Amino acid sequence: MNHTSHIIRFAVVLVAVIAGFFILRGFLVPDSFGVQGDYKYGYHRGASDAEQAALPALYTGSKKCAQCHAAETAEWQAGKHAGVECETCHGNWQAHNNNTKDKAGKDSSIEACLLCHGEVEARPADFPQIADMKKHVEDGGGAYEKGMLCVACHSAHSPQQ
Amino acid sequence: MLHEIVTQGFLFPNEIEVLWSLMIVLYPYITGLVAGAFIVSSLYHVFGKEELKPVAKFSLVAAFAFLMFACTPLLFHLGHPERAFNIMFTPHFYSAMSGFGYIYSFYLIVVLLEIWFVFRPDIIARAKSSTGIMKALYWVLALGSMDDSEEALHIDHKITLVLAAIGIPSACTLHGYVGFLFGSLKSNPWWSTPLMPVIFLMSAIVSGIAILIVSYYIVMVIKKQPVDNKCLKSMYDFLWGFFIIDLTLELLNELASIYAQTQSYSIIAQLTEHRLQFSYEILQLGICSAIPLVVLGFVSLKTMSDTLRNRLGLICSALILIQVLAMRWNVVVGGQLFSKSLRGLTSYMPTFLGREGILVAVILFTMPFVVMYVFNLILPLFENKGDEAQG
Amino acid sequence: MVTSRRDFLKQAGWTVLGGGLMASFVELPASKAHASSGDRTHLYAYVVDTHKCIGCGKCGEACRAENKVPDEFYRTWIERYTIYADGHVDVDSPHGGEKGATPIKKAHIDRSFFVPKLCNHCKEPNCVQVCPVGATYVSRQGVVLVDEKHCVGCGYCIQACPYGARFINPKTHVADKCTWCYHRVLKGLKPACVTVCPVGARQFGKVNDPNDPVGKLIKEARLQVLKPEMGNQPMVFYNGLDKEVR
Ligand code: HEC
Ligand code: HEC
Ligand code: HEC
Ligand code: HEC
Repeated sequence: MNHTSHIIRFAVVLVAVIAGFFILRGFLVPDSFGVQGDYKYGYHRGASDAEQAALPALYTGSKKCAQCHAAETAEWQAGKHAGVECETCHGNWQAHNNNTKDKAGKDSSIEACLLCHGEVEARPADFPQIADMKKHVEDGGGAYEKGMLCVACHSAHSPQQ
Repeated sequence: MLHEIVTQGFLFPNEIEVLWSLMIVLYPYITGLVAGAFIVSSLYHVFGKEELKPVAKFSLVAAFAFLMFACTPLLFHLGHPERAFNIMFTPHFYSAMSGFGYIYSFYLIVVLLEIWFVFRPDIIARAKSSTGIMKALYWVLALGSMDDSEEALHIDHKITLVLAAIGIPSACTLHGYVGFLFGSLKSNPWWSTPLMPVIFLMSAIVSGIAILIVSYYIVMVIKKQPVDNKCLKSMYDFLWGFFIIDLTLELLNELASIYAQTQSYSIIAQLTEHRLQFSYEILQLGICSAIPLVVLGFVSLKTMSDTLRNRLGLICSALILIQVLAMRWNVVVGGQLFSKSLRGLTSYMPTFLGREGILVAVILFTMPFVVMYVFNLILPLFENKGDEAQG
Repeated sequence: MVTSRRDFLKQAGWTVLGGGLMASFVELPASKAHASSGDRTHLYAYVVDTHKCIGCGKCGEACRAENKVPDEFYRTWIERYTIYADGHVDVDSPHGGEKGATPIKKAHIDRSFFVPKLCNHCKEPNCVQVCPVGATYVSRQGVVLVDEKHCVGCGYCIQACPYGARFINPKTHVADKCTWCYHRVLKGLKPACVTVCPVGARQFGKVNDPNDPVGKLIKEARLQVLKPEMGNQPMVFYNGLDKEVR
């Protein structure tokens, strides 16, 4: 009499389960999955690269702005803020494109200027910084008033005046 | 009830919240119990420690029950539990974690096989004696094969032996691997030590033996049956032996860190002083280590009355269970409480409710015992002395 | 001795089965290898000049908008280091430095400076090494990316990153990090943070292009990387790194 039939039965069940796993795997693993370059750093779903590359870019750079705001751009290019992109101060183009009436990006408050020009010890010593508005105005030979804006004396786009 | 995160010093802004929560503490804890329980059953099956016979089946089923729930904490933790099988579908074997699915499955199969072969005579006996739906259940469990002849059982026994022999390295791999998960992360000075897998393995074995002692004792009290003192004594001996190794390694690790005083030392010192004082200094290396170490020594070496020995042994086992839990907590949570800038500490306290809360942890930890209970309804975990007398 | 031969056959059967299984494990990665071919190069590099940074936080703000970074998590941030005369080192980065920096009392300060941080897009990224499912990888251009449709959210990469650059995105529940604005870079634009930086503290370019200022810097300037001892070989280089910076 054969005394191993139960073992064979168990083996059949086991093999079925394992086979089931591999079949399932065949269906569920995305087609583009594989190795790009080496297995250590390049094992992934190939389609992911293109998906991420296709995301929209919100910031476009000053060339875009120049298309419609030639005057501001010209003024900006001639001034000391020429190294500062329009979008650094005005926010990204995409938000503007959605709603040109939105004025949130046009911030002429003191705080907006002091974000860069406020005096902070950690800033490079040669970067122009303002410790105190009142003192600054009086140093410049002006008369200080409460609520005075930086843009009252400086053009935001070409601030050396 | 929400815990205010208290930070101290500077942390990278993404590090404020502790990522690996209570669930990840529970995961190595339960996995460790598996390894320990399996080792005990192997001591009987492979190494022929006859005195462990009373818990041989129980420990095997305990290993299985804990194994069934070893992964569940992870599922509660994962951002996308529905994608959990990606780890087996597209394994990236450079990752220490990727092996888990396969090691776990392999080990599960080994344990299942072993249980099946060990319990086959019981299944067949019950299939023959029961009726109706239960008979059908036993028939399915037996896979329709009612061969309990001498020859068949002989083959079964041989296979059991082989399986147990395969099981031991698998159990060690499974748990050593969990330690490696942490030990291999060079970015974290609290984790990154080659001792980590060994410490995890030793504490796993220790906690597994301890939980067997405690649950065996409790089950026997509930069943109103006398405990087998020889069996317990043997488990105390093993517990003590493994605990000495475990503790030595843990202290060695601590000592090496203190002595070497590398760049990370000052933050590690702050960590143990300000954040882990209770769970590390007091629990893990303090009372929950010192007492079992000394008392188990007496229990093992000195002759004393069974009652006293069992009381002491039980207390030590419970303390060791706490010690190992504390160790898991200190490793997993502790490793995330300090910044990788080595300049600051954050804090963590699990919530009571919630996906990764204490309640879920308690439920998950109770489930293996429910499984054992149900298993016992279907198949006997313990040789019933009364039955033997009748038969 | 019929039984023992059977036994032997049985054992052999198991061994073969086991061996076959093992073999298929090993083959797993290759079994579906018809993804885009081509070798990986580390095309780009990023240079941070800590001498120039004014800590205005515009980079963080732009990054958040460009990449829809959820609140309280950071793909890039600016740290401020202040080293006092008594040797005490103070580091802060409130809101990741995005809202600018508040002045501190000047007295007794030896030196103070800003250090912008971001993913280092390492040549040997151990975050990628530890990903169990192949959800984070190095793109053909050498950019370290996360596939948010495949990531299981285990957080292992976050633990592995020595720089704290990764986090679990509370909306997508997967690992998230700086991509060097992969979508911009491939279109010929600079990353958003580089675009908006008013002082040129952040620069991005091609490593091997001698006409590229960044390519030139990497060749000629004496630049450092963060935590070189990790062996990750970052592709973000720093000018003027202080010993206190980690
Ligand atoms: C397609 C043409 C177009 C482009 C390109 C464009 N803008 Fe505008 N912009 C407009 C229009 C139209 C208005 C609305 C003018 C008005 O309401 O008076 C406007 C208004 C503004 C205003 C607010 C003016 C106000 O008076 O409140 C700002 C600031 C501004 N743009 C900045 C930018 C910046 C920065 C860019 C580049 C990223 C840009 N614009 C690109 C068309 C454009
Ligand atoms: C340093 C920050 C800064 C930069 C850089 C900057 N702007 Fe402005 N811009 C401002 C401020 C502040 C105002 C509001 C000025 C005011 O109220 O007088 C403004 C106003 C404007 C207006 C509205 C003009 C008006 O008359 O109301 C437009 C259009 C504009 N900017 C376009 C641009 C463009 C195009 C660029 C890039 C070439 C640019 N800005 C660069 C800060 C900036
Ligand atoms: C995003 C940062 C930023 C903001 C915001 C900003 N600036 Fe500037 N500003 C600069 C930079 C960069 C320079 C060039 C500094 C240099 O040449 O060293 C500069 C230069 C200047 C200068 C010329 C300094 C000199 O050395 O002659 C003035 C004046 C000035 N800004 C005024 C303003 C005013 C007023 C505002 C608010 C409307 C403002 N800035 C907002 C970055 C900024
Ligand atoms: C009353 C007019 C006035 C106001 C208001 C004013 N400034 Fe000025 N600012 C001047 C004058 C005049 C100078 C040139 C001083 C000089 O060259 O010595 C100047 C110079 C500067 C400079 C260059 C300083 C340097 O060291 O090179 C900066 C930067 C500047 N201002 C920023 C600001 C900011 C920011 C504000 C708002 C907080 C502001 N100013 C408000 C009149 C003004």
